[in-house]
Amino acid sequence: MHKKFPWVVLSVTAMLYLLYSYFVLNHKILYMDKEYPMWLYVKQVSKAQSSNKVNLIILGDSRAKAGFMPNELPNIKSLNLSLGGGTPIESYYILKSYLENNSAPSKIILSYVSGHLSTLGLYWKRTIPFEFLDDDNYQEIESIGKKLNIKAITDEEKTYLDYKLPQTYASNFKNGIINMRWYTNKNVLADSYRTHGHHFFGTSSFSNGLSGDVFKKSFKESKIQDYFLKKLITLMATHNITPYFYFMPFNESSFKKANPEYIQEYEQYIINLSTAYNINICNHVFYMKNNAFGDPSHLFNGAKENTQLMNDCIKD
Amino acid sequence: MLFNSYEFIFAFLPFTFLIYFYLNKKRLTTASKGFLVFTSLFFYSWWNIVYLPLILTSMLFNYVVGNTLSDQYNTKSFGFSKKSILTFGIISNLSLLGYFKYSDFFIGNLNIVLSTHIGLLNLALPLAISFFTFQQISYLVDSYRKETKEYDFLSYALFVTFFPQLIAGPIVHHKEMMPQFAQAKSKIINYKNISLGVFIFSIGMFKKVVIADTFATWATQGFDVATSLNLIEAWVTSLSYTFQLYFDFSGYTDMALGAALLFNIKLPINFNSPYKAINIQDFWRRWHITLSRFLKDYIYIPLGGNRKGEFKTYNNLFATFLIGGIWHGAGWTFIMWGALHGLAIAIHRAWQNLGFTMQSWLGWLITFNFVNIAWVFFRAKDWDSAIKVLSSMFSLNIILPQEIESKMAFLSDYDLKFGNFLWSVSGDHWTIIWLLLGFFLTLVCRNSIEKLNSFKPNLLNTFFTSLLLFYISISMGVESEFLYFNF
Repeated sequence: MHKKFPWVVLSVTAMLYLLYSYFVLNHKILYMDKEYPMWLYVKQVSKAQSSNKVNLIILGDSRAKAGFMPNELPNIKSLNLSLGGGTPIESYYILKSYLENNSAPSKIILSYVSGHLSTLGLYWKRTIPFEFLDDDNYQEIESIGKKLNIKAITDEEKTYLDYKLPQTYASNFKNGIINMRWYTNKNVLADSYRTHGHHFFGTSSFSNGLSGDVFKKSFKESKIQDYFLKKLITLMATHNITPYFYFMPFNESSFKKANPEYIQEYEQYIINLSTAYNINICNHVFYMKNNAFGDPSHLFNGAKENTQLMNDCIKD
Repeated sequence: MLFNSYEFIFAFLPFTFLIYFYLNKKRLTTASKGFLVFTSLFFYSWWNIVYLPLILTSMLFNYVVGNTLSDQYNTKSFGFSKKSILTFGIISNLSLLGYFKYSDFFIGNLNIVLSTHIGLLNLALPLAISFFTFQQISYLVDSYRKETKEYDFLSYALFVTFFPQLIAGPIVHHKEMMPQFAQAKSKIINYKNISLGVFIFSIGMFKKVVIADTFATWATQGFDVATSLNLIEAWVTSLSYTFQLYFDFSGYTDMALGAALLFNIKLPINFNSPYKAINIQDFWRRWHITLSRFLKDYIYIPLGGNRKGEFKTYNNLFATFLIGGIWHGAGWTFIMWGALHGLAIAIHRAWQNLGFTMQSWLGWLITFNFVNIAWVFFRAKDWDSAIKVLSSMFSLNIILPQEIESKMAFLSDYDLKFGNFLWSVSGDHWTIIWLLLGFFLTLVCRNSIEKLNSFKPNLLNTFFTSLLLFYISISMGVESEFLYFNF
């Protein structure tokens, strides 16, 4: 028995590990956090060929995802392809992929909070682990990052290839099992199709909490986000898509505590961009009442009103 | 190289095992011993090859001094007594340890006391120096006491460098290791020992990778990151460290025992459910047993032990624990920790001498809380951090979980607040569950040595070990050092 013990133990361990590897690499929707199905929806839509021509697409981050409700505009075929933590990097590849498979929409609204224009965002936490992009996209991003000397890329001792190892997903896997995420995730994916990409994050009837913007003293665009934002706008131009930029509202509490210089610098960056690339800016940075928000950053009760404001902006 | 690293588990350990037994099978026993010394030195150098000459010189020096102390040489013909050679050997070892470990502490305090500005040396502490120094001091003393036999340098080198116990013990005696290395049966593959080794190694690694590293998150947040703590956070911080240290160090020891068993070597046990102790003396019979043994045999007894009257005994006990504290690290917090334990053990002795008794549960409660509080000094990186945690542990700054607010809103009248009660330690309800699990594992379950002693290679143990190894394999993303590597 003693002679067999180590071999049996090693064999059973190896078998369990192989099963685990297969599971974590091929069934992420069953255990990843609930952002995964939202990203998966965007990925699937951007890669699918659809016969329905879409007129309007929203590309942006979580605030845009919560703040624009395609189903509220029955007369316009629209899609919300924003991502929680999304930046121009992801938006560029979403649009590129979408245009490879579908006809171009006539209008696109871009909307990013300052933080998603000034950092690499959640590239290492979502874009890669979620396998949102293709390998050649990652190679391109990492090579551009190195060229632009982006520390969040050059200082990392890993590449996208490291995320092909099952090891990387251990803590997600454990959390997924403990929290039984498969059920929620399948529902979130189904909901995304039903809402055409819209998703509420906070669902409180009121939020006077402070969003991250309050703590920012100044705004400086990230070189890589600037690069991809310009690339994204250029891509739109080549397909005759009219670009818009919409500043999502702050809640009143955050707006009143935010540094005016930081807001001014953030706005100025977009204004400069619009001058150089002919973008239509819909609004200024503004706020809505605290009872429009479901959490300090995301709209809930005010989402319908905000959708109308966005619609007003793109009306001819 | 860490026991919990891929290179150790998948390359170093299997390679060393296979070559060692292959050489023995070919009856190349000296070569196999040389190979084991070489791989052990490689294991040591993996961290920093710069200190390889240090350990080699230390070994050579102590081998020569130890041999000189043995019966074979008449040291009087050199003009030195054996006692003076022993003193020279011990002072040399302590000087080496002192230079690397205590220079900056000494200079720093000198600068404060004399208002001087002597520059710190900022020396990196050579890995395992405290362990191999103590082990070799014990060898010198044993040689002086005529308790050692003659062995060649290669055997001696293996005694010092044998990789399972080189970095953080157990601190072994020459007499318990050398005969094992010499035994013919230890040179043949023994499947029973492999089974036992794999079993205990898996348990040890699980303790480290899964349990200790989980507690480490909250302990680190509380001690090093948070600027202030509420009462619950402070207790979570101290308890997290109490469990982290136990599972980390006993996990390391289990892995050392397991790795050594693969080579048919039985290392002494180092832990025996220390948190079940019902008094402080009991605790020290269960915690870091080989260090306690060293301190008793080579400090407490030479100081006179309990043979020179009651007052001197208290002094000796206190001094022994103070030295134990200093051995762990160069800092006032370690000295405080040693002093607290010295004081506690003296009080315990006085209590016993006065004929007082105590209910076991009360004894446990006092002992556990004392140990937990004393660990705060042991862990804190400076005095201020220790005070931050301790003062919060006894403060009235109480924040209760938000979830119970609706049911216990009346508590607000007593100045109790509700909110994210574990925010400063990055904890949540899982933290509480883990702490309860920590208590369960340390107080209710049998310890790994008890499990090892009753081990049978049956289906249950096969599945249990496989499950541990599988869970470890998916949790090994980030390598983290063992806490005792710092000492």
